[in-house]
This record gives sequence, structure tokens and C-alpha cells, in this order.
Amino acid sequence: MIVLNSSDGATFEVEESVAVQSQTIKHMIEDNCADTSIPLPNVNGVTLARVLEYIKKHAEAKDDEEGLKSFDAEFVKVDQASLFEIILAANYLDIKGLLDLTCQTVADQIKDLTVEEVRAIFNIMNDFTPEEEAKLRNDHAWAFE
Amino acid sequence: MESTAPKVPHGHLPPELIFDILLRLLVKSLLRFTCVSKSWNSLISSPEFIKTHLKETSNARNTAHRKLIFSSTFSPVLDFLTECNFDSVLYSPTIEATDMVTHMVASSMTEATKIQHPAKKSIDIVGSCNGLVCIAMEYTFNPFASDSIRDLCFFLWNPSIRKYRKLPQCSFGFDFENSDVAAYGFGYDELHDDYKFIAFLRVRSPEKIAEDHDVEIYSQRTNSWKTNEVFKKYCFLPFQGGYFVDGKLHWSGTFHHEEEDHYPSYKIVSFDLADETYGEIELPENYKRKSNALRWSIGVLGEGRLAFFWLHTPDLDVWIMTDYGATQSWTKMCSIRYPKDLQCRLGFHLNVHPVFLSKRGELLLKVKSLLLLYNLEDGAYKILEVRSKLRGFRGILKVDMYDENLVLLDAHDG
Repeated sequence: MIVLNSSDGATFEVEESVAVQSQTIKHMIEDNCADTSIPLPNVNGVTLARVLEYIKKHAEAKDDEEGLKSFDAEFVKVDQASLFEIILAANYLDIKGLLDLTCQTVADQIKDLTVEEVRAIFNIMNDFTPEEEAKLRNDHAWAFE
Repeated sequence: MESTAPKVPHGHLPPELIFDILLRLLVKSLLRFTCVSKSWNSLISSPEFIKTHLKETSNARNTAHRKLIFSSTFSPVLDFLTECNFDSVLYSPTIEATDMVTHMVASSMTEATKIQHPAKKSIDIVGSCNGLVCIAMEYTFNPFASDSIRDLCFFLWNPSIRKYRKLPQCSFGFDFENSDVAAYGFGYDELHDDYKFIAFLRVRSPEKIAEDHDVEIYSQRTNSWKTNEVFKKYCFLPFQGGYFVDGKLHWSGTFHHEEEDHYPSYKIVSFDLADETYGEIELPENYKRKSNALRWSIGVLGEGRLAFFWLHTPDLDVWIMTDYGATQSWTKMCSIRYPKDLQCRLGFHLNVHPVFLSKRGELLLKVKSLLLLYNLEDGAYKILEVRSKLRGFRGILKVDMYDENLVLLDAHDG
């Protein structure tokens, strides 16, 4: 069993065979950094719990394609902030399947949004002057129809 | 005891994750999102993103990004280009082809000459490769007058983002009195990351039996033309666009031997875009000695493989070269029997243009002006009708395929 410590001090136990879905954890184990427990300062407790839920399910039901599909669909039904937290965690922990799933989910959510809505979601400041933005919109006018 | 890391505000995903998310979007969304911020604009317009996005859409297992384009006939002005979703071809009984925006036709008219409007213009699709489509446009001014002028120009075009770049006039100019284009081709030189267009000009001289061709090559990277050595060895079979396989363009040709009484032999002529050298591919063994030049043609099928077609009415043989360059790897895919009701329409001249071969054995061919969907497994076939709301849309002249992409993002509107 591997012990994982989240950034806010929560502790989780997980089977090594399951934990190695995370390439990051896998390398730490191989490099013998996992004697007592593995600290994960970049992931908070709530998010780590969710990530573990994902990798546990994918380990135990790995041949059940239909079952995993519906699990994944339900798994991503969370609020935006949590989804972003999971993406960051999946990236840090290097769990390809989870990163793929969550990035695709965000892509599907934003694809038909307006520019203003996208800025709001990603908390991005518009650094174009009005003239610059107008020119860009004009260049690709048909995409805004 | 390590201090807890600060919680990353949810808005700030690092650039590489934004990159990953954006890669999954269609072109239309990406073009809108260039307006989100300066950094998103740089990211989407970066060569790295454009290349990776193109790779992703070409490899996608679903064909949502794929489109077919058609040039169609409406005499005397053949200037329609229409397109439809690839999926609709395989799954619907009829296809609605929508008009493509071709502003370049209108704006180029004023560039061409200050005189009258072209009385005749025609559009031909030279080829489609790695995201771009190459278009040839021919104009005739005053066709019935003694001072009639013909002009031919070429465009690199990305229909996904509706941008085009007109190729500069090349040094040879087009003197239609004494020369014409015997063949041309368009492809992508991966080694130099360059799109290239090649034209073989046949200079008419009554004395010569074998033909000399002037060869002109355009490079998109340098936006210029250069003349290659005169091409003497082959005659091209009736005018054709080249087929791009394995980094080379291919045409069907006749090789004239020096000995006068030797029968001409048929070869597939190849031109390597990276090192600009010629090569030859042999026809499948059974056909090498057959004598009819009008009965065979080539194309590209099934994940970029060279295909060979031979018509012996009412059957059409389809072969694929499974291992590029190895003559013994020519494999017969099928022999399609033209349906009785089509035989007279299809005639004896081979006018077959392969479009697509799926992993499931669905073969899509353009035969004359029809699309034929043939199932290799059970031999069933379907004639597909392409309809368009354009007035006068009649049949299909040429078909090509592309995957949506962002190449040429900095070019003109088209």
C-alpha cells in the first residue's frame, strides 16, 4: 500500500498497482522516494480524493468499456473550478487518461461559447485595444456568424 | 514539514494545458478564440500549434473534420467549387454540396487585366495536400476576337479558414499559341516544410516526335518559381494532375524508347519534392505489355497508397501498391463490374478518380461525373447523387478531400 499526503495534510492509502497509473508516483516509487509516504504539495485533499476515485475505478474495471464510459461521463459532471483542479492534478501526476478526459470535457464545453464567455471561464484579461480586436474579428468574420 | 503550496487560481491553467485543450477544437472555434487575448492569438497562430492541430485532425478516428470538395460544370463558366461533409457521403443517400466562398475569383479578375470581364473561366482542383488545396484558374477574354487573351493562374487555398494566396506570375508566362500545360501537381515537402507546385509545359514544335517539357517549380516557402531541367523522357497521358504519395508526385506516362520500332512502354513517373529528382514505378506485371494508353490511370487510396486502375469494360480493376516502390507488392483489391444501366454513360474512356478507401472496405470513386460507393466485402455498390442549390450545378468534374486545419492563417481572404 502506498500512502499519499495532500497539500492540506490529508492522508490517503492506495494499492501500489493502482497508484502507478500516475507516472509521477510510479517514478517516485522506482526512485525509492516512497519509503513512508509520498507528499503531493500541488494537490489538495478534495481533488486528490477525486483523482483516486478515477484511478481506482479504471484499475478495477479496466476491461469494461461501456462501464468506464458511463463512469467517465458522470465523473466530469462537476463545477468548473473543480474540473480545472482535476486537470492540474492529472497534469502534475501525469495520468494520461484522466488528462485526456478532462481536457476534452473543457474543449466540448467551450467550443460554441463567445469570446467574452471564454475570457470569464479562464479568468483572462482582454489585452487587445478595441481597434486590434475589431481587426481580428473582421479577418475571420465568418467564424462569428 | 513542507508548507502548503498556494492554491492555483482556477483561471490560470499553464500554456501547455491551454494548448492541449485548444487542439481539440474545430477551426471555427479556434478562429474566434484568437480574439480572447494576445497570448491566445499567438498560441493559435504559432507554427507549432498549426502543425500539431493538422496532425491531430488528419489522424482523428472520427471523420468530423473531413470534407470533400468538388469542381463542377456549368458551361460556359466552370467556376463552381462546392463542398460537403465527408460523413454525409458515406451515410446519406444524397449529398448536399454547399457553395464555397471563392472571392478570389472576383478580386483576381481586376488584377488580371484592365479590359473586359473574362468571358470564360474555369476552375480546376490541382490537388489537396497537408491542409492546403491548390487551384488553377483559367480565363479567356474576348474568346471570339482576334485579340483574345487567355490567362492561367494558381492559388494556394485553405478552405477551412477561407484564406488564399495567389502564386506570383512565373517567368515563362503562358503563351497559349505555342505551349500549354501538359501536367501539373501539388504536394508537401516534409523535409523542407514547404508546399510545392510543379508544372510541365509542353512546347509545341511540329518537328519533334517525342515531347520536351519545360518544368517550372513553385516553392511556397520562398514564394518564387524556378526552372528545372527540361524533361525529355516521357509523354504524359492526357492532361492530368499529379498524385501525391510518399513525398513524391506521380503521373501516368509513356516512355519512348530510342529505337524507333520499339513499342512505347507505360510507366508511372514520380517526382520527389524534397530532392527534386525523377523516378519510375512499374505497372503491375499483368498490365505492362497491354497496349491501350487510354485504359489506365492512377490515384491515391487507403492511407496514402498508390493505386492503379485498368478498365476493360465493363470491369474496372483496382490495384494498390502496399509497399511503396516494390513492384511485386501490387495487390489487386477488386474488380468492379460497372452496373448495366451505367455502362453506356461511363463509356470506354477511363475517367476514374479515386477518392477514398476506408478500413472497412468502402471504396469511393468518381467515375466521369458520378460518385460510386463500392463495398469490397460484398460487392454492393451505390451511386451517389451530389446536389447543390446552385443554379446550373451539373455533375462533378473533380473531387478532392481535406481535413480542417489552420495552415496559411496569415494569407488573404478568399
